[in-house]
Amino acid sequence: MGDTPISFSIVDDDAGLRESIVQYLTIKGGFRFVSQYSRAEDALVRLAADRPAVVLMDIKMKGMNGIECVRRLKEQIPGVFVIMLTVFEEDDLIFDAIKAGAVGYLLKSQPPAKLIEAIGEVIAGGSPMSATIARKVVQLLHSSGDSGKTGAEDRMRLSIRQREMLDLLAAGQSYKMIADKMGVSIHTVRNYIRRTYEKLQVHTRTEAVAKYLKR
Amino acid sequence: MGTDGGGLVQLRQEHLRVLGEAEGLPSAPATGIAQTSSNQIVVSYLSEGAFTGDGQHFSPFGPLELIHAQHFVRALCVANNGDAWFGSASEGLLCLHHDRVVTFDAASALAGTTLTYLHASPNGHVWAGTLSGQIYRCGESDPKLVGSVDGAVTAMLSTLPDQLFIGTAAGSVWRLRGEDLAPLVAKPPPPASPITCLCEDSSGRVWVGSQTNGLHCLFHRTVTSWGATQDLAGLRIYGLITDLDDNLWLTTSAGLALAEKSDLNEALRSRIFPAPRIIEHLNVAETETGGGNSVARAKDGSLWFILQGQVIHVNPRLWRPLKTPPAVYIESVRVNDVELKRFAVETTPGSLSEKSEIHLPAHVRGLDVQFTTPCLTSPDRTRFRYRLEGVDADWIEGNPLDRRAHYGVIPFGRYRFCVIAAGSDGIWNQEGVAFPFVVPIPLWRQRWILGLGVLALAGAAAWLVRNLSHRRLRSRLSDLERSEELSRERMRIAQDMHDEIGSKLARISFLSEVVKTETKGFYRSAEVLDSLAKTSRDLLHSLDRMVWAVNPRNDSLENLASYLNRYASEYFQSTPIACQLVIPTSLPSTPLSSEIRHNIFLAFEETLTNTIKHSAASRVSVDLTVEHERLRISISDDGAGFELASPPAAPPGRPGGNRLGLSNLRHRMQSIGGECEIRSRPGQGTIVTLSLQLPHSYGRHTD
Repeated sequence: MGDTPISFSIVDDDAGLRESIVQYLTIKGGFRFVSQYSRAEDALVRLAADRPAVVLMDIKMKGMNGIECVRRLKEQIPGVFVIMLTVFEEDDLIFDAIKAGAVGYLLKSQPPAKLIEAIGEVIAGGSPMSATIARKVVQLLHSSGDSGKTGAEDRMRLSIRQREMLDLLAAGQSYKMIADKMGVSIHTVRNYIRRTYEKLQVHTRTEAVAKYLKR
Repeated sequence: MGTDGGGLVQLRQEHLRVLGEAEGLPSAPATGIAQTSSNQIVVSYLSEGAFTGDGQHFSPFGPLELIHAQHFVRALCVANNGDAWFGSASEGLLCLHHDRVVTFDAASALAGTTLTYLHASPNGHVWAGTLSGQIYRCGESDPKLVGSVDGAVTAMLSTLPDQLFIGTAAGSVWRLRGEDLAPLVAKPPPPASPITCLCEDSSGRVWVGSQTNGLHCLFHRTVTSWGATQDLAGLRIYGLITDLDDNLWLTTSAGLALAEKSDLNEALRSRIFPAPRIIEHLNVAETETGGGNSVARAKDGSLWFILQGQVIHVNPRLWRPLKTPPAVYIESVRVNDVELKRFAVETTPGSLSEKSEIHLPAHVRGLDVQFTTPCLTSPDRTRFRYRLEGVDADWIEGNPLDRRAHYGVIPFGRYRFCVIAAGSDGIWNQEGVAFPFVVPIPLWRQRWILGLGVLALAGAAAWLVRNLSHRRLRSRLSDLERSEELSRERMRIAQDMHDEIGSKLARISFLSEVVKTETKGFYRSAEVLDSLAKTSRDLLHSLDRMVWAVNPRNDSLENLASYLNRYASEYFQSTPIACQLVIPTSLPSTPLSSEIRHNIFLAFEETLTNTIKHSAASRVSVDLTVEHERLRISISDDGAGFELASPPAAPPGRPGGNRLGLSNLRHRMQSIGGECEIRSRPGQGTIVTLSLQLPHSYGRHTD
């Protein structure tokens, strides 16, 4: 953690959990609490003015859900880091959130220290990716699908290294093992993952445009 | 082509002919054409003199002087009294009067001029136009200068009452009435284009063609113009003549074209000229100047044209059927490779709807229809479309050269085979020809036999439905309803556990960390808080598993694979054991019930637990495959292994030991119809294979 505290906001409709996370991060130090919202709609209106570096966002909320909120938030403040909070590892939702623009996610069932780790990783330019998510990305790449022969793989333009890394991740290898196998640092692995996320987001956006145009 | 070609040539001769050496004409380019009062045709040539004939056979015209004089004839006309007049470059004006040549030599008024156009008016006058624009009246005695126009005379036309229209190379039209010569049409804005031709139709309209300025119509002091580029598709017009039906024939840069009377009337009303139909495609050189006496109408109504130096004879009346799109004939019909005999008699061209039906044999295994059209000019440009109503949804484009339609087996029913054709102008003859036929119902499909069969079947079916299906369907329906309801209930429970309990447990986990941080130093309380936080997280994990098992959204093989994948990688993350998972990227979309998923997961978990606890392995690999609809999960390690007969002793605090654990595994898999195979040898690792025959994709499975 650097000298300047990391500013963060939190959007979660569970007031108790919200409070406890704010409390936890504040006590641990290195974080500056900016704002908290219980509704995604309110967050969308105000967050641009709050200017947090990191937004912790619950996936499931009443009203607008966290995924939609990320999508819109990234349009307003493209530079903001959004980390999704979820009680359980519901892969579909997490995958959707990543496609919408989230750079990380945290299971509420993980020890709280993991939250600090996750934020640190995101700020350092990395992203977490579980084997399941990696598998989903690989599947997306394979499903050239209905949009012609130029597969998602071509459109995402993943490098061979990124592809290799994804396959290793999907096979359940840890970052450490991947880094060793590919002869790079863990930091590089995390960076690759971030790049993959970004390409996934761009891909999702163009896909959406293409789908819209096809109608 | 054989006989087909011969037939076509014959027809071609009747409608349109290009004359040449076969008819006794020279092969040089012709310059002018005229019709004599005795129905003879006179054709002039630049250096071969003139030829005359009846249309079939031509011979050199006039006395020998004219033939051999190399007179460079440019203009020609034949007056009412039978005198033929020639404009010659070297000899000036010549008149052939009763086989005697009269020359108007240099002494006359015409001395030193070049004649460009000669015209005989019905009142007996002969008019001569020169290159420098002078108009002479000839006929009585010496040519007499009448006046001058603004350029070389390129066209003349006499109309009633006693008017002479003159077209010039400067692009203007003049009118001579009595002695009064005046421009009629103001010079069109530059670039002016030479007037190439003038003609009058029976209603008194004067049509004016120009080389690059399009077509104009003068009528009662109004001028209607159609531009060459916008209205005439860039056609240059070289000659114009109307036939006896007032259709306008044009010699153009694209060939011989026709604009029908009805189209002309429409064009005058709308000021939009219809695309002239090209009758004979000729690639006319753009340098063709046209003008001169290049068109003539014979007394019999046939038309003579000179186009690109060729003499063309057209009989417009005979052309008529061709002006409408080509007629189609059905030549032969073969059913099961046998030609229909009666057919030829029954199909003459006509409306598609008039024919009486033909009865074909009951079993049609092949139907071949051959059709044709008497196309004159360009058989390869004729297009066909055919359609078997009752079989083809739409017209089928036929091959213009292979005029055949083939159909395979045609079931019983009523059909109509229709063909239509279009000529090279692309206009379809919508009438075409039709061949309606009936394929009779085979005996065994006859109505009364079928009726009987249907009745018997219906009776049996009704009885069955009443006695069996009814009850069954009802119970099945309620089963389905119940399972649907159950599925919804499972979803709701999963959702509730997730949202309510999950987030509260997470809160405990966070809060205990907060308290622990705040109460730094109190060793004992920190320990208690740690275990509190850990317990709540463990609870979350168990809850996670339960929710996963219960939620019907996860009822698929893909979900099971993902979950096992995640579980294994998390499970080994904090251990020294390296775990390698191999799962195919795409898995069949097989539904897996909650029960199956749960049991497979528990068996898998148990196997991993055994590995960690007993194997002392450094490497575990999980291999999930689906082959022949059989799911196989094999977990192999490089650990200590064991003798199958005596598995390692139970760890303390775990009664029953591993022997029970292994039989548990087997029972679990058997309870869902699967198998568990364990292979191990001391020192050679262990392979546990869980396998299960998958239900058919989207098939029935245990509800």
